[in-house]
Formats: sequence, structure tokens, C-alpha cells
Amino acid sequence: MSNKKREMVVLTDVSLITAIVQRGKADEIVKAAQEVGAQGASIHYSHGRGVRERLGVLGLVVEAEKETIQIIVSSDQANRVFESIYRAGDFDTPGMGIMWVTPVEKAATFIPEDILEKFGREDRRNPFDVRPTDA
Amino acid sequence: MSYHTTRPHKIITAILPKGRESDLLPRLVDELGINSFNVGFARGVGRITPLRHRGVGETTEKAILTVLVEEERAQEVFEFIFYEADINQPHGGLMYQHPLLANTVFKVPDIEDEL
Amino acid sequence: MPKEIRFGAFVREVNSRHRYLSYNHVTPKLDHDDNGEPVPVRVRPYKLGSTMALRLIQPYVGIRLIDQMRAVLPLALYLVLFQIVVLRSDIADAWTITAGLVAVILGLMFFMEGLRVGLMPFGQALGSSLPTRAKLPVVLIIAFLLGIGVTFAEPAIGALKAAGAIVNVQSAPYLYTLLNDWAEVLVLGVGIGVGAAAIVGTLRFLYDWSLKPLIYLTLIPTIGLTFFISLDPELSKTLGLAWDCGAVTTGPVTVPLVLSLGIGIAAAAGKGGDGMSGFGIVTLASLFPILVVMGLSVYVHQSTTPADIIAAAQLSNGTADTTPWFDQTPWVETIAGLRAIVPLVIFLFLVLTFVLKEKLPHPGKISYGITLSVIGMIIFNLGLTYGLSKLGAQSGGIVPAAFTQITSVETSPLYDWLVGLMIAIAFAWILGFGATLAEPALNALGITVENLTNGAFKKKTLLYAVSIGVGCGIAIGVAKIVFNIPIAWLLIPGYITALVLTFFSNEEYVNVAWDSAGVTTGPVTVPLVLAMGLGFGDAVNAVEGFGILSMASIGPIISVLSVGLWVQWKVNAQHRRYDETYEAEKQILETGASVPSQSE
Repeated sequence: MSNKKREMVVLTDVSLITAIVQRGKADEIVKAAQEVGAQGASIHYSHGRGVRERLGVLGLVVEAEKETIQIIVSSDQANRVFESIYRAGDFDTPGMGIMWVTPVEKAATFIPEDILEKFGREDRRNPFDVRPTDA
Repeated sequence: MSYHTTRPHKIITAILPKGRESDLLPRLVDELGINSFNVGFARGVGRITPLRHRGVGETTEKAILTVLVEEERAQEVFEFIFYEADINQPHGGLMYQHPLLANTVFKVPDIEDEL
Repeated sequence: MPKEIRFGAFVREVNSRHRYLSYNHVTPKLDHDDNGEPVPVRVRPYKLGSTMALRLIQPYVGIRLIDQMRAVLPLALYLVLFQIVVLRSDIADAWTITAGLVAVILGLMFFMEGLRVGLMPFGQALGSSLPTRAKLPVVLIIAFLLGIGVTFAEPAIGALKAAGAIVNVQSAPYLYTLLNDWAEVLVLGVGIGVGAAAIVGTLRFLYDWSLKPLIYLTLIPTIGLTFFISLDPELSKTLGLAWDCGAVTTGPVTVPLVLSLGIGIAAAAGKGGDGMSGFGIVTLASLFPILVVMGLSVYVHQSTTPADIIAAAQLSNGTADTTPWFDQTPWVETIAGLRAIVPLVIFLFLVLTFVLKEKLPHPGKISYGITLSVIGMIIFNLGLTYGLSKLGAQSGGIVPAAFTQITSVETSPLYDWLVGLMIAIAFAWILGFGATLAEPALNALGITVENLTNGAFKKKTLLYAVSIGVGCGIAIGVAKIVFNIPIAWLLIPGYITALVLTFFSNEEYVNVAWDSAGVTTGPVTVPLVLAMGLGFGDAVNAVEGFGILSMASIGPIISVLSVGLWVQWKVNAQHRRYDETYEAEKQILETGASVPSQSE
């Protein structure tokens, strides 16, 4: 591998939003999240347990199939995206799903050069970072 | 019933283009001696594929790698994945790190040589 | 750092009232017994009134019913309109056909739900415990037996045999003898082919082989043998039958079962990683029988002469049973529905209980699913007989009247020869497209692909890609009959194209494309297409109406692989576009110009 070992740009002030919704809903929810500025999302299928088991035979007609959405957002966006997902996914109706926000210490991805130039290197220690001080 | 945490751990998650994980995982085990990881797959909607112009193949498959590491090795593993999985290249995916409140310790059981 | 907020977003932000509730209030408190041990929390089942239960059941049934209506109704409407408007003839038995169509829709609904809830989870459970609980020879024997079993359960094989009744012994003696004197051997040969495919496919899961080399290794001899047979004028008439046998082996019960078994085995024994590793058996099960049947016809060619066959046929003449195969009592369909599912399920259940010594997971749910699929299959078969096949046979039989003279239509030819032929070929294309959309096995495959790719490869994409491929294939097949093109001329270039595309495609698309080719020709397509093929064959006095199905199998391989390559190209192009704009911005930056702000 011959990639340039440049210095690593670490992103701070990042949160992760995870939402578990009924299968088939994820696309519209991600769309709503992108409309308020979310960059991207990853979605995978999963199975839930809960309501089905309490319905007995009728449980057969309730889908156990779920979609799990994970979106990385900046802390400024977190509340806005959280709300827009809440609305798009009808989280106030029973059985629609659940969602939470997790703190992220740091994140990294490819950052275009121009953005780096624009904001310079914010030389601020990550509050989460507990690295032994090295020279 | 006792789970014990020896010291604080971190969770590192990397979202990679599918297929890139296959040569990264053995290297995690061989070069860093880390085997407390899990791999799943997902469909990804990236920054440059907004759902506005959704069509055939606008969503691509991603591999999601979750690694549990001790706090003092977190930096090392984070950097290893960052460089070796080409996350610093365009379309290389992204990665992030979480703090944990509690966790169990995962050890691969020693298997006696049968020979 | 200034931030732009759209005013609408700002207003919403202000108007939305957050209420915070501690989750601690929501979760149950633990009770403790006298020893201070916590008592397990017991979840109280919900008591629902009948109205509430109805409200739950209604969307469950509704969604599934609408799904199947979408699949079947367009095809039925199209057939009706075509017959009335283009061919200007009335529909016979309109009420029976309507009832039949309703039955097809209901049957498909039950069957698909049964697949989802019962048969597929059952297959997957069995597959995942097979490699861990049984030794390799046992696993392979089970796979082989399963392969033979599914062939005998496959209803479409019967349709092929029935089509043999109309072959004229004078013009195609070898084809006649294969379909009449050798019929049992033919079906057994196909079964052995499918069994061998199951063995190779299972080995592929266990050792993580790539599918591409297996395709090359199977297809190159098959194409070679096809070329060899096409050189012999008498023998070449059996080619259509051989390739069609490959197309009909994999039907609505076989495919989902084999797929889910494969996924289970691959998950338990494979190296993981490749999500598509449950695929490939269907592909091999479509190719191996072709080789076997060709081998059989070469053997027959060596052992008898055409003169002997014609003499023998004239001796037994008059005893031939010429009842058309769509003219039977409802009991036959019921038995066929039971025969397609029950023996297989019993066999697999015995394997699970006695060989693997495992218990059935979720027995209630799985039996519910299997019962549903049996009921669905029976209703579906009845509906096919009285509805779809009848309708298809009516219009398929008189389509040639558009361009040539046939006895049953007085005013034929209805159109000028060229116009009529265009109409007929367009009819064939749309029939293939519509019938494929309604094909249950393809729907099951689509669902599986969508699950395995976490939704990146949508079921809809696959369905349309395959249906377009089948439409084109069937149109070419019809042209083959009308112009009497030797089938080898179509098959050999077609499969060579498929090989080239396979070489350039990635493993995932290769798996999906080749498997979907085996899946397309099922209970909806086969009767419709065979009826149409025979109608065309009669009208133009062709030797046989075979070969359309094999063209229908090659179509989707090419179309799905093309879609795959196109998607790859599109993603790459997108990346390139992004890179270019990014490079351009860097240029601007380096020259010190101002940067336009990016708003994505």
C-alpha cells in the first residue's frame, strides 16, 4: 500500500443517531434526515422482539422485520435531525420504532482539501481524548 | 454471574465499501492481535448520493466493522484502520469511536493442539 | 463560523415542544421473593377486542393481496384486450376464466406468505445445521436425493411430456422417441442432472468456490456438444427439447427451498463475507440436465435408426393418449399441489429429526407457513387451469392468425403478413414480460436478494430486469419458430455473449443473474409459452414448438448482467464526477481564487 501517511484529520463534535423502524420505512426517513442536512446513512435489516410475542396467535400478522438506520451527524445538527426523523417515522404512534443518540468521541473520513483550508487546523484537544501526552 | 471490566474500553466502528473488510480483518488479528470484532453488512446512502435522484444502484453495499479495544490501544487501532482501510481516500467510508459504560472482556478460548 | 438556517426550519425548531421523560419510570421494577432472589418479569399478553384484531389483520391481508393483484391483473387484462381488440374474437368461458384469475391471485398470496413464514425458514434452519451435524458424504447424499425428488415434484416437467404428444414421428423421429418411448428415462436423467447439481452446489458452499469457473466448466462443454449435435440434421431436432428441459427443472417450490437451504449451509460452513453464497445451485440445476438430455439423445442416435422408430411408432399408433393437458378434473390440481410440497417437506423433516437429531424451530409458525403454501399451491393450480392457462391458450393459439391462415379463424390472415408478424412478436414479448412478473419463484428470489444485500439490490429492479430479458428471449424464440431458424444458431452466440458478460461482472451479479435465469420459467410462464409455441408451430407447420423456453432463460442472464455492469459504471462515473469537481476546486484554491461554498 502506498498511501501518503499524511496527518490524520480527526472530526470532533460528532453524534451518532440510531433509529430502529418498521421495514420499508427507512428510505423516506433517511430522505427527511438528509433534507435537514444529514450527510449519509447506513441501513441494515434486523429482527425485533416485543409486541409480537404478547399477541399470541395474532402475532403472526405483525411484521418482526425491522430496519436499523445509523446516521452520523454533527452536534449542531443532532437535535434537528432527531426531530425530523421523529416526525418522518411517526415515532409518536405505538409500535413504530425507537431511536437514540450516542456520543461519539471522534470520527474520521476523507475531508476535501478545500474544507481543511477554509477552517484551518483547529488546534483544540478533543475533550474525550485521553492520550498520554507525547512529544 | 459476574462480568468484570478490567479497564475502560472503546468501540470503534468503521463503515467501509463492501469487500474492503476481507483483507483488513486477518491483518487486525495478525498484526495487532485483536479479535474482538464483529462484521455486518448494510446499504449505504452517501453524501454524494442523495435520495433525490434515486435510481438503480444509487445505494451501494457497505461493510460495518465494529471493534472493541482497550482504551490505551484505541488510538493505535483507530489509526491502523484509518490508514490501512484507505479511509483517508475519497469514497473510502468513515469511522468513529464511542466511549463505553460497561463491557465484558472477550477472549478466544485456548485450543489444545490435537497432534 | 456563521451558520445558515432556513427560516422554516427555525420556526419548526421553535414550535416543537420537547418533553423529557426518564426511561426509569417506564421500565418495570423487579419483585423479589422471600430469599431475596429477583422474580422473573412476566410479560402480560395483550387482550385485544375483535375490532382491534381486525384492524391488525386487515393491513396484513390487504398489502399481500394488492401485491399479487399487481402481478397478475395486468397480464390478464392484456390477454383479454389483445384477443378482443387485435384478434377480434370473443373470450370463451369468460366467467370461468374470471373465477380462475381470482383463484390465481388468492393462491399466489397464500403461497408467497407460506414461503416467507414456513418453507424458507424451514430450509434455512435445516441448511444451517446440516454441515455441523452430518458428515460430508451424508450431506451430499441428502443433496442428491433432494435434487431427484424436486424434479419429480416439478409440474412443468409433465407439461413438456404432454407437448411430446403432438410431435410428428415422420418429421422428427428422435424427438418423438425421446418424448414417448424414453419419457421415463428422460425425467430420471433430468433428475440425476439436478441431483449432481445439488452436490456440486453444496460443495461450493462448503469450500467457498467462486461460481464463475463452475459456469465456464459447465457451459463450454454444453455449447460444444450443442454445436456437435447441430451438425447432424436428424439429431439437431432434439436440441430445443434438451435446452427446454434445463429451463423447466427449477420451479416455485424448488427454488425457494434450495435457495434457503443453500443460504443456511453457506452461513454455517462458509467463510461468511460474500452475502450471495447461497446461490448457484439453481444455475447448475438448469445446466446439468441439458448435458444429460443431450447425452441421452446421442445415445439414442447411436442405438437406433430413424426407420426403426417410425416402424415402432406405427405399430403402437392409435394407443397414444392425446388428451390435452389443460383438460382435467380439479382433483389433478389438488394432487399436484400436494405432490409438489408435502413429500419434500416430509423428507426434509425426517432428515432433520433422524439424521441431524434436531428439533424444529418455531414449530407452530413453520407448520402454519407450510399449510398456507400447500393451500396456496392448490388454489393457484386450479386458477391456472381454469383461468390463466385457458386464456393464454386461447389467445396464444390464435395469434398466428394475425399473419397467416389458420383453420379456426375464418377471416385469417387478419393483417398484412409483415404487420401481422410484428403484432405476433410484440404479443410474445409482452406475454413473456407479464408472465415473468407473476412468477412466484422469481418473487421469492427477489425477496431473498433484497434481504441479503440489505436492500441495496431492490426486488423491483431484479423483477423488471429479468422480465425484460424474458420478453426479449421469448420474442426471439417465436421468431425462431416462424422463420425456422436452427436453435443452435441462437443458443451458441447467446451463451457466448453471456460468458463474456460473466467474465466482466462481479461475483454477486453473476450469482443473481444466472440463478434468475433458472427461476423465470415456472408455472405461470411455461403453460402460456408452450401453448403459444405450439400454436405458432402448428400455424407455420414447424417440426416442433420447443426452444422458446430456452431462449427465455438466456434473456435474463444477459439483461441482469447488463444491469449490473451499468450500475458499476454509474457508481464509478459518480465518483469520477465528484473527484473532478473536487480537483477543480483545489485548482481554484491553489490559484488563490475565492471558493464557492458547497451546499450539498
